[in-house]
Amino acid sequence: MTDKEKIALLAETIEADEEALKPEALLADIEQYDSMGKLSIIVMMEDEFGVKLDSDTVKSFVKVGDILALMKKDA
Amino acid sequence: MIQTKIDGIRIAAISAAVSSNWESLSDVLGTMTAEDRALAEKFTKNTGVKGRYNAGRYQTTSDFCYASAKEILDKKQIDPREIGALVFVTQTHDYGLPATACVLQHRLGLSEDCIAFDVNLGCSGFTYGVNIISSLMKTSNVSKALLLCGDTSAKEKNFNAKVKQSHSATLLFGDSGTAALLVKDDRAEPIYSLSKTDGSRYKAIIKPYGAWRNPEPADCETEMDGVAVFTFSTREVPELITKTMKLTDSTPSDYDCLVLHQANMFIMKQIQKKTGFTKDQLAVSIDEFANTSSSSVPLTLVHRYVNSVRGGGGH
Repeated sequence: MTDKEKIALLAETIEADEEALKPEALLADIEQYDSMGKLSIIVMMEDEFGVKLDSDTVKSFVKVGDILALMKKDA
Repeated sequence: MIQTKIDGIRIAAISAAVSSNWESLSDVLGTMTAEDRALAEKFTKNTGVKGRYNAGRYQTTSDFCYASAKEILDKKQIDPREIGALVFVTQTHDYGLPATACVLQHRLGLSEDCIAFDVNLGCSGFTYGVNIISSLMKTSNVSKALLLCGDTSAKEKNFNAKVKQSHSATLLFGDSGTAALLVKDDRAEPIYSLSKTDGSRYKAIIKPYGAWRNPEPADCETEMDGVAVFTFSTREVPELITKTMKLTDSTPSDYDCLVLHQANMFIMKQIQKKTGFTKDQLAVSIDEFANTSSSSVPLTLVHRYVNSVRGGGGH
C-alpha cells in the first residue's frame, strides 16, 4: 500500500480531508482525531492490517506519520 | 477465568425504575450554539445516546432499586419474610457507611434473617451479582433472593464549563435502578458464565479522589481512558462470549437476543459483529436510557420485553 493509499484510508476512517493528513501534520490540530476518531483508527488497523493497538501506543502518536508507519501487515 | 454452571436457580422476575425526568442531549448541554448542536449530533451518532433519565437532587440509586424491588414483591405477591438475601450492586451508595443494602432491607420490610450487603462494581455488576447470589443460595437455606443493581452516574456530572473538555463522560451516563428476583427451582435451566477480572487496568475508569487513598475532596469527576476501555471491551468480551457458546454447544442463532452492557453503541456493534450475532439480535436501551452502569443489562431486558418502564417499573 502506497503512502497515498494509506492517507486515503485514514481519511475515510476518521472522515477527514486527505489534504489535512500530511505525514508531518500534528494530530492535535486535526479536529476529527478525537476520542471516536482514535477508536475508528483502532478498528481499521485491526481489520485492515491485523495490528492491535493498545492505549499507550495510541497516546504516543504525535504526527499523522506515526500512524502511517504502523499501517503495514508486518507491523 | 472462572467457569460457572448454576443449576436449580431461576431468575423469576426483573423490574427497572427511572425518574420521570428525561432529558435530551440538547437539554443537557443547555443553550444550544451551532457548535453545541453539532457536538450533540456527533455524540449521538457515535455512542447511540439520545438522552437520559436524571435522578432528582435527593433521589438516590437505592430509591430506584427500592421501587423496582417493591414492584416485584407486590406483583408476585411475595411475603417479604421469604427473601433470604439482598445484594445491592452499586458505585453510588447512599452513605459512606453503612452498606446501603442494610437500609434497603429495612425499607423493604425484609426480615433480620435476610442477609444484606453491597458490592462495588459497575459494568459487570449484574452478571457478577447473579454469580454471587446464586452461589450463596446453593450453599444455604435461602430459597428467594433479591439482586439490586443501579447507579446514578449522571448525577455527579458538572454540566457547565467542563462539558466540552469531558463531554464523553458527561453525556454518556444515565440514572436507574433495577431488581431481579432469584428463586430455587429444580426445573430451572442451567445458567452458564465465564468471568475474569483484569486488575492491572484499574485506572481505565477511576474516581481517584474523595476516598481513602486520596482523601482530598473530589473536585474532579470520574476519569475514563476511552481507548483502554474500548480495546479491552472489543478484544476480551467477544472471546468470553464465544467460549460461553462453545461451553453450551450453541450458536448465535440459538438466542433470541444478545444483551450487552450498554457501554456505547460503537463498542456494542463491534462485539456483535465479532461474535456472529445479527444487528436485530443486539438488544439496545442506550438510545433512551444512556449508559446505566450495572443496571444496564436488566434494564435492557425489561426494555426489550416490556413496552415501557416509565412510572416506576415493570417485570
